[in-house]
Amino acid sequence: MLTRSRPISSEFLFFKTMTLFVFWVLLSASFDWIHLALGLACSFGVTWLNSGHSPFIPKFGLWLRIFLYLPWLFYKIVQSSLHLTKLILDPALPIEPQLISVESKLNHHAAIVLFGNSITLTPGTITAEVDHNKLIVHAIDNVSREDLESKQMESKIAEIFKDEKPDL
Amino acid sequence: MFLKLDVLLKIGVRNVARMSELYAQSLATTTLLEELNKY
Repeated sequence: MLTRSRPISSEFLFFKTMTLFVFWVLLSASFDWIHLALGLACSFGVTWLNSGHSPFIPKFGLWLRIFLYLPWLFYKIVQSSLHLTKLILDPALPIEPQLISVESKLNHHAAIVLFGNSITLTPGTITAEVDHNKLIVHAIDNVSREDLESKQMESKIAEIFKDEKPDL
Repeated sequence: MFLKLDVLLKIGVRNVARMSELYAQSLATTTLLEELNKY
């Protein structure tokens, strides 16, 4: 059952669907009707399921800070990808998979969402579960775990949300 | 040592499959333990 904290306007639905659809077309590079129709249906479905659940609307300053955080995240993604590639191509597969419980100091639900997604986007670590400010993260080896435990990502996100009122 | 590309690919595919298997196993174990903790 979908619960929406705030109403979603049809303009917003249309804009978000179209943005996702453009992204679909860019990635699929197929222009036959079945791909386009499927893309449109998926874009609308994703938009419909992922809109209006949070009462939180970020202000311009926050968007800007999130935007400035993305290059650093991208750098971490590339760095972890290279590390993971080394692990994968090693015949001995030197991994130490582990599920770790991370208690975050972040006190805003949007910050936790950003943190969880950043962890998942970084190869080698996956957020398996989130409960308030506690995250269960799967790390592929000790390097990935130490990277997470260094709290570098968390402090960057805390910096982004420093002006927001805590809601957790 | 220079490995042939097809050998490297085979190693990579095998390792990714193994990693996915391990991930699924640990996730299943955690879920099971959580369920058991409820009782």
